[in-house]
Amino acid sequence: MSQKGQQLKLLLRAGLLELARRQGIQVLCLLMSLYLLIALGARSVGERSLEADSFMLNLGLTLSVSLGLILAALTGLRQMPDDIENRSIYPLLARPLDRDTLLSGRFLSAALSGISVTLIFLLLTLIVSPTPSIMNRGMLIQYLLLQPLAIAWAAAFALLLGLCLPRALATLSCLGLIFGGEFLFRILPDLFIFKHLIPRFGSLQLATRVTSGATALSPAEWIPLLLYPAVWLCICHFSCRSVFRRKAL
Amino acid sequence: MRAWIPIAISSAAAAALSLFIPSDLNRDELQGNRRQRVEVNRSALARILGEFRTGTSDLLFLKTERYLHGGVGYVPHQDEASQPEQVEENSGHSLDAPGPKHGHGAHDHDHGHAQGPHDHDHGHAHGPHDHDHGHAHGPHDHNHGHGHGPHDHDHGHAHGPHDHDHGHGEHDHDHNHAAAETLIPSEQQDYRGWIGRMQREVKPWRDPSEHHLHSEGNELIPWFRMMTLSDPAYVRGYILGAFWVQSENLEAAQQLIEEGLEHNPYAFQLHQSRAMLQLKEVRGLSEDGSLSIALPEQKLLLEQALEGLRHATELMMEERPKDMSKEELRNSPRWGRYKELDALAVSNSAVTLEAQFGDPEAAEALKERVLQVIPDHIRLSKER
Repeated sequence: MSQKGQQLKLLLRAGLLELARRQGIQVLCLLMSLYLLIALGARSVGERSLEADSFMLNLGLTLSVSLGLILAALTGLRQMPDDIENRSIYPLLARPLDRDTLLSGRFLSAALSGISVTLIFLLLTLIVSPTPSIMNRGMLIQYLLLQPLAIAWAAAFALLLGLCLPRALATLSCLGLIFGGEFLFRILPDLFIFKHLIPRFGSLQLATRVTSGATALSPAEWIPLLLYPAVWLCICHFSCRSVFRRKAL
Repeated sequence: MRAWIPIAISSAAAAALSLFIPSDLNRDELQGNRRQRVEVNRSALARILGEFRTGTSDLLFLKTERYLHGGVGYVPHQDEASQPEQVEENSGHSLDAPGPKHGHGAHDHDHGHAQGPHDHDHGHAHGPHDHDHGHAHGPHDHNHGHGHGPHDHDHGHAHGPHDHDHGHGEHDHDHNHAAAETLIPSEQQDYRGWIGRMQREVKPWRDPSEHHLHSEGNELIPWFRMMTLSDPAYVRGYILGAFWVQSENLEAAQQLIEEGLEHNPYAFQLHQSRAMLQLKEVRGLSEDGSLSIALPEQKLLLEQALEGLRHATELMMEERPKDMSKEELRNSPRWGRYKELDALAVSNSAVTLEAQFGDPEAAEALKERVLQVIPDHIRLSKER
């Protein structure tokens, strides 16, 4: 493995260790296990109808992805400010670690923790929750493929805001845009052309489409949806690099 | 400087991609019956938070009442029992009637007031503490009843192919709630002395013995907008919002209804409202404000309105519970009094307009079908 790869691996490990040390992930697991218990109960003794099945699955999918997004965003938001505040950034940069590598390592640990948690939760949801008879498997696969991209985007976006804004403001605006960006986009009038620069995380959240039995997205709908988070990842990456290079530590 | 070039390029690409991503990907035609479609096509979180959303929109609805009265709060002073039960019978005049004279909205009282160039009635209803919002649409109505009661949610308005523009400027209303008490007591009833006087000075207050001052409907529009934003399934928010907007800006009213239809494609009242706005547009194209098909645009609009009314009637017949008595229907949370009034009005409008401008035989057939669903439809049974 190249030196850079080794460095990234170490940073990733450090990030995951830090995550395990904090108790946030336990809270997420607790929330998810509550849902799983209810879903299990509903599956074995509850009323089975199309509406009930759709509701339970929709709740599970939404919860899994939302928890993953929250984890990725909070991890991304606090990493760099913590490093700067605790002055641990100096020994890190004093080793042969350049700023870009440090940034990439921090991004990877935030994104991968979010993605892994989401994938585990999604898997558990799909196993435990009742499956509505009308669900389209093609749509489900499309949905599942979009989620890692959405979480990576959230991590990068959080990293950027964490670098640019004070902690509280960054947290509020990041979570606000992740969960309310699509709503904001919808309510702004079409004439306001800059609304297209609002990050539309909600456009990737198609849980209702999955559970309502709608058909899979056509390539014309699917490809922009795939490209959109990828382009936003580029924006966040370039912006983070630019900001971090100039940032006085 | 060069560092910003890739950021600018990717931002432009993101904005361009955003144009290709519709915001309604989560909505689609679903399988199953209508109730299932409505239930299934809703996110779990929206259902869990449903109560909060409807609560918010209810609070906003209350706010509109204060705004209507220029910020003056009134003590609830009327109950549903005091309202006349003549709405079903009272659908007005024939389509040829040149001028509107009477008619009752869903809950309006006998206090219509004449205003505007066509001397039309405009009824206002003030209801009790209930949380129903009602409005009636009749093909021959020439009045709008719009109810706002202190702490009530009892709003009604009537639309008909013959209804006309109403100015909603500030005006006094000569109706029987003139003596209603205000939340801030009058000097005679206030034991607080100078504190009470000060409150009456700094807070919006009007002598209860004077007639209510109703402000422009325009001021209510943002509240209706927030209502529909907080709860997109709040059908009456769209309808009443459009009702207030239409006198000032018909296009905006149509947009609001279209938005409502996007979120509630099966709400027959919204289809009905859209048709009524189209009929208003038809009338706007005539010199004398009557329904005519002299111009091709009028004919096209009238056909669209007729189609909308037919569709609304079909949706209504599908939705109306079939296994309930009239009384049960009126008290049913699934249906209710106001929805029943809407049902009567939409079927009436569809049949009348079909007979007048569509196919009389189809009108007869539609009437028979409606009477099978609503056997006690007073107006249609009279015409039998």
